[in-house]
Amino acid sequence: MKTALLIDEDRVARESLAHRLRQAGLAVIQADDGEKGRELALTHKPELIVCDQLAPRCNGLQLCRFLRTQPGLNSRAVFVVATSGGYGVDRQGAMEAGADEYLVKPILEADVARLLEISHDGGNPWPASPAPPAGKKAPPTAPAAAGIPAGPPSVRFWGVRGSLPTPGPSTVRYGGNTACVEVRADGQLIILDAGTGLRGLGLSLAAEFKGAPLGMTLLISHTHWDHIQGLPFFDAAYNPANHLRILGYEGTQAGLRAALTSQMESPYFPVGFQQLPGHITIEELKDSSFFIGPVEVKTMFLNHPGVCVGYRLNTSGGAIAYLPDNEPYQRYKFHTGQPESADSAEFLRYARRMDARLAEFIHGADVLISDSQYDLNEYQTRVGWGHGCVDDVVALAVQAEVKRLFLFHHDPSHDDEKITRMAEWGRAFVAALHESLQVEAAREGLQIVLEPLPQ
Amino acid sequence: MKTGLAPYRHSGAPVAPAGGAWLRFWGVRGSIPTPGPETAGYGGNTTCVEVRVGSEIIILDSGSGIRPLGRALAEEFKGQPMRVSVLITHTHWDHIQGFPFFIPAYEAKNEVVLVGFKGARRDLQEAFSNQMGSPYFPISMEQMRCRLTIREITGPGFKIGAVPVRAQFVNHPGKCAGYRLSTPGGDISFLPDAELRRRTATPGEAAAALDTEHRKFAGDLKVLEFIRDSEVLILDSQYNPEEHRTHLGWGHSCADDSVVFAIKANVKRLFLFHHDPDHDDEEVSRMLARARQEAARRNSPLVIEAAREGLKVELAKK
Repeated sequence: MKTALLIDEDRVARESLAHRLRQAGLAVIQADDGEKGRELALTHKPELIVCDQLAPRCNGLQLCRFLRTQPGLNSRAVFVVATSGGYGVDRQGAMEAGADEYLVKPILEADVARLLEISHDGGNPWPASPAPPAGKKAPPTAPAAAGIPAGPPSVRFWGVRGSLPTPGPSTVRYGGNTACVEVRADGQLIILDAGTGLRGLGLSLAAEFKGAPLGMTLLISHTHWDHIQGLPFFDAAYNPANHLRILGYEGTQAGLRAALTSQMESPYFPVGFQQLPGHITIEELKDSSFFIGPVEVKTMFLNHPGVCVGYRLNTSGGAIAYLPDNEPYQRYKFHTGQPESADSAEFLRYARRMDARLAEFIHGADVLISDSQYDLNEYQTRVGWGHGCVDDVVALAVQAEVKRLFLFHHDPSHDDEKITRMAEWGRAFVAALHESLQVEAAREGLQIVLEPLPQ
Repeated sequence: MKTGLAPYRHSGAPVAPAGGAWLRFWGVRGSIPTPGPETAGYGGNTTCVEVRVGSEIIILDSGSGIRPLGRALAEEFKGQPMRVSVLITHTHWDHIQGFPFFIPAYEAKNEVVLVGFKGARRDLQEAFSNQMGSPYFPISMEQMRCRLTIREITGPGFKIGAVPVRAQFVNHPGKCAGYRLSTPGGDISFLPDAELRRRTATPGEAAAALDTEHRKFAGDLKVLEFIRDSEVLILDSQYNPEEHRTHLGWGHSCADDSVVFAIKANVKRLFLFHHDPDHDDEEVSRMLARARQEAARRNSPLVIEAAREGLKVELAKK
């Protein structure tokens, strides 16, 4: 009897596929994260491995790349990457990592037939590439230097634009810098993403602290340019007295460190990352919950090409949720999941369940900063690009009982007037729903102070 | 390497440039795009200049300014096929970061030719394709549907259509070229990133003590000859003299040197370029005023402007 190994955090999706494979006569073993999946693969040598692209602790592409170097595995084993998103660039990445097939969830009967067919034929040869050198352990966390004055938690926008910085008179009101948000809470300075807005934050910190040592934590949602391109221009990283701790997920390619440091290499940039004099550590996150000082951080993978994560910061003044790039699933799956077919109900059930998980993640947040790049009309021609529209984001925020929503990741082609109209539309939608959600467009320089919760 | 681009073959017969020529600035900022009200006057987009000679469309570098240029071209051609040549001086971010947002490259009927110096084929192909795709961008370069080729210049002189172009390496970290385009309205010299060697060769106070201007520019004679008699010179002038003293060897020039250099080379019109990200509109205007004073002090007819996004410069046929 052949053995199939299913790796997915989503138990419902896993059980559903397991049931179908058992009916087809396979033995099924399961894991809810990539590390457990790796151990099971090495121990049981399954003939078929289906791993979710966004499996926690070791994503599908990383696991595929690793297992392809392990000579002990079944030489005809088939590796399949499953994904909710289904982006072309991710399909290409999966194939480059050595996957035999790339399936978009929910996995239907036709997909199961395909799985059985390719596992009968056998997969790519193993090992396909030489084993990589043993990875170095992440350096220990640098002790955070003090320096943030006490006060209620606050949020300040330094970059609100998506895709590419957009200078010019038509964007001066909301701002043209790419993603960067400063959070001060409970003695911690936490920076969300390192788009070009980080340059302005660095200059401001230098003026405020006048060179005094500063401890900072930078949370990276993903490594698309508009979220990392400001790092080489972050003044605070050039101050040898500062401690900068950078946290993020390893991504689908060579890892977080490589993604961040290779933008500071010839032929692209004249200053190398190693030349930055500040104490800088880069750590790849494994856990979906951890602490920065007393601030509890929770993470959740989002619907966006590659590995993109949202953060929730639970501070003494309330919760701040940050979903910089995300496309809600419901409408997306309706459009991409053959709406005319008999399977459309299954697509929608799956999409609703995925959106419900996200609503739970942001539930009750005092501040939600969310990708809402498009209006509903624009979205019709951009379904599957990995970004949301105002209507869907407002609906999600209402469902999750969020208090204040900040529309974020403004489209480069949207001028100030357009963004104002989109915020007005969002407020009108809330009013029509008789809800109390506050809706604003994120604007560079805007600062929000959270009142501490009563004890 | 992810892409296997076809070798360059010019698809149509060269169109003889008729009438004059013009150029328009789409990105004038150095290092990193700088949005915001304080830079809205001169502009915060990184390097991109559009040059038109007859029907030939030549784009100088593809910083973030190429995004609005692409939209303008799409508007102008309204779906008709276009052929554009993009000359790349070097692959630092501020000279290539706009290319993934160049709309005409996503149209199958268009032709885009990336032009770089000898030995640049692999460099250009890798530099451009590596900035697209995982983990940096949601679209890979293969998804650009236009006919995209890389043309490698094999000598100091070449032609784009009927437009003669010359190339010259300049003083900047890594390999960086300057270009000189000949048009019926005079020559355009484009040196967006270049440190005139005068101050790097003699750091500190010694720079001020140099006796003759010939000695000051001794290391730059080749570049000086390269730009000689240009109608238009677009030249890196990132710093004021005080800033340049603390940025020696960073690969950028100061505006005062640019003026002296342009006068010595008998240039007609100088455009201060590659504005520092820390300079607001007021500072750029101050640097411009000071540069003009310097030219007046030397009784030079040199016309000086600070490059500004949207500014169109006509080169009337002579």
